[in-house]
Amino acid sequence: MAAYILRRLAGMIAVMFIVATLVFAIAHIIPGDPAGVMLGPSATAEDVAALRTRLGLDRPLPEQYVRFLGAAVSLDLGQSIFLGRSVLQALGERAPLTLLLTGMAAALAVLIGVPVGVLSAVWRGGAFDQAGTALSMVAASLPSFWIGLTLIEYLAVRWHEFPVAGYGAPGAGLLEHMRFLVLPAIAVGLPNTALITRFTRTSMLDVLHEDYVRTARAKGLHPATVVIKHAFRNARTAVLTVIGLVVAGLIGGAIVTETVFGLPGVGNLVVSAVLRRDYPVIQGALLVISGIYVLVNLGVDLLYAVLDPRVRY
Amino acid sequence: MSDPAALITVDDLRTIFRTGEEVARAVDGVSFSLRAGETLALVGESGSGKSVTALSIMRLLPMPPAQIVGRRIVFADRGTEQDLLTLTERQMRRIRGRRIAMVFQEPMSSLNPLLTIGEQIAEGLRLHLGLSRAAAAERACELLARVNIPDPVRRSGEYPHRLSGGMRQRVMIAAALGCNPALLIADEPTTALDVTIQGQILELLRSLQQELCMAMLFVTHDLGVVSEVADRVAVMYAGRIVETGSRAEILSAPRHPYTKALLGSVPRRRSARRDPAARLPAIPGQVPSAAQLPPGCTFAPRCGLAIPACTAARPALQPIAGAHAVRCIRWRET
Repeated sequence: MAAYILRRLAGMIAVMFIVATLVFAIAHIIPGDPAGVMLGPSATAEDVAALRTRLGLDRPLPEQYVRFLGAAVSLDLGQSIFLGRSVLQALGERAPLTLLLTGMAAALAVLIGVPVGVLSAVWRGGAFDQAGTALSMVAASLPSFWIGLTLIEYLAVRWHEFPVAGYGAPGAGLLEHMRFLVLPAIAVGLPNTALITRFTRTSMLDVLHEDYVRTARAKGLHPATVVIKHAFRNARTAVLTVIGLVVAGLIGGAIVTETVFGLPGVGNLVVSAVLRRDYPVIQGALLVISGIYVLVNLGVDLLYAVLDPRVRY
Repeated sequence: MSDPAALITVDDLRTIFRTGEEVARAVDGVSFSLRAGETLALVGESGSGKSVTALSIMRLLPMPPAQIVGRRIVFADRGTEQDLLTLTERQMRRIRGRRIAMVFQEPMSSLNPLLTIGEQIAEGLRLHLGLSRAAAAERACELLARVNIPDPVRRSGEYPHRLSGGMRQRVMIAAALGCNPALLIADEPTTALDVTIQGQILELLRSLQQELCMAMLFVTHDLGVVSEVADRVAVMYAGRIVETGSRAEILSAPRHPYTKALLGSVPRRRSARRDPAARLPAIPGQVPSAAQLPPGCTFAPRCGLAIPACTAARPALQPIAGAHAVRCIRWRET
C-alpha cells in the first residue's frame, strides 16, 4: 500500500509538470506581447517595458520556463499585477469560501442523490422511481446559473428567506457564512445531485440481481438490512467513482456560481483575473485547481482499497 | 397424497411468470410431501421448473413477474401448521433461514464479497437466535469447524475471495444450518464443483442431515447425485412431476418414457466397452417453453410411444405400487 501511494505521488508530480507546462504556454500562445495585452492599448511603451522586465519576459523563453517551474515547485506563484499582493495570498484569502461552497454542494448532492438512487432501484418502476427519474432529468438539464438566478428571484428577492448575494461580514461566524452559501450550494449542487441519483440507481440495480442478495433474503433478513448491508455495500465503489468526478467538477462549477451570487471566492478571482489579463493569478489558480483535482482522484483511489477487501495495490 | 406425518406438504403448486401478455407456467401443479429426516430429490433438466419450485417454497421469486397462484404449501413445524403461501412477508421472514434454509448452486457468487465469512454466518444467528455479537461469532467458528474448514477462527475473519469453491459451499452450508432448520432446500449445491469436491459436500450434507434430523429437498439434474443422497425421487418435466417413487424404483424400474430416456442418457462404462462406436443416446427435441406448453402430456412431442390419446387430455399421476406413481397413460407398455 505504501509503495502504491509513493507510485501514485510520483505520477501526480508528472501530471503537475505537464499542467505547469500548459499553464506556462498560455501566456505565450496568445498572439502579441503578454505585457502589452495585460496593460491594454492605452499603455505607454515605458510601462510595457517595465512590466516585461518585472515579469522576466525580456529573458529567453527556455530561461523563463525553467524559472517558472522552479517558482511553482517552491509554491512561489508570483505577484498579482492588479491586487497588490502575492498570488498565493490572494488564493489563500479566497479559498475558504470556495472550499465551503464545494463542500456544501457535495454534501447536498451525496446526501440526497445516494438515498434517492438507492430507493429508486429498490422500488424500480414504482411511483417514487418514476418521479425521481423525471426530476433527475429536469435537474440534470438545468444550468447552474439559471437555477441560481431563479433561487435568488424567489427565495431571496420575493420571500426574503435567504440573502441575495455576498458572503456576510468578514468577521462573521461559520454559520452566518453558510447561510449566504445555501442558495449557491443548491444552484451548483442540484445538477450533480441528479447525476449521483442516476448513477446510484444503476449500480444498485446491477447489485440487487446478484446471487448474494438472494442469499441474504433467504436468511430471513429485514429488507432494509438486505438493501443497505448486502446490496449498497457492493454498489459503494461505483458510487464513489461518480462522487469523485462530481467533487472535482464542482470546483469548476464554482466559477460560474460565484459570479452569479457575487461571492468573493476563487472562481470570482479567476474571472476577474481573466478579464484584467492578470496572468500570474490565472496561472497560479490553474495550478492550484489542477492540484486539488489530482488529489481528489488519489483520495478516491485510496478509498477503493478501504471499501473493498479485494482491491490490493 | 396428504401425509399426516409430513413436515412440509406442497399441494398443487402453480407458479407463473407474466411478461406482457405472455403467461409462462413454470410450475404447473406440483405436489409432494416430505417428512423429517427424509431426502426428496427433485430431478429434471434445465427449465423443468425444479428451481422455481424450490424458490416458491421460500417465496424468494421476484414478484412480479412471478406469481404463485395455487394452492397450498403446508409447513407443519413444532406442532403448528401454517400455509406458507398465506403468511405475511414478516411471518415468512421468521421462517426463512430459521426453520427453512437454503443452499444455492453458485458458491462463487452466493456469498457477499464485502463481508467476512464469520459475519455472513453470524448475522443469521443474531437475528433468529438472539445471540450477542460475541456469542454469534464464537458459534460461527464452531459451525465452520463442523463443516471441516481448517483453522476456523482465522478463516472467519477472511473474505470469500480467499476461499476455493468447495470451501465457499461449506461456508454456505454452515450459514444455512446455523439455526438448526427443520428443512434444508439444496438447489444444485454440487453442480458448480469439481467431482472430487462434490462427493465431500454430499457426504457432509448427509451427515449433517442425520445429526440434525433435518428434511432435505435436493434439487438436481444429476442422476449420479440422486443415487447418493435421495430417499425418494420426483422427476419433473415442463413444470410437472411425471414420475415419483423411491430411489430404487426410479433408478432401477422407471416407468415414464422421460425417466427412462433420462437414465439412458447417463454415460456408462459397460455399454461403451460392448460397442465403442455406440453414441450416447440423447432425447430428441427440447423441453417446451413454459409459455407454450403442448396440450395433454407435455412430453408427447418428444416421446417414441406417443399416440393420439396422449395429446388429447392431460394425464393424471397414476399409482403403480406403493408410493411409485407415473404420469403416463401407456406406462404398462413401457
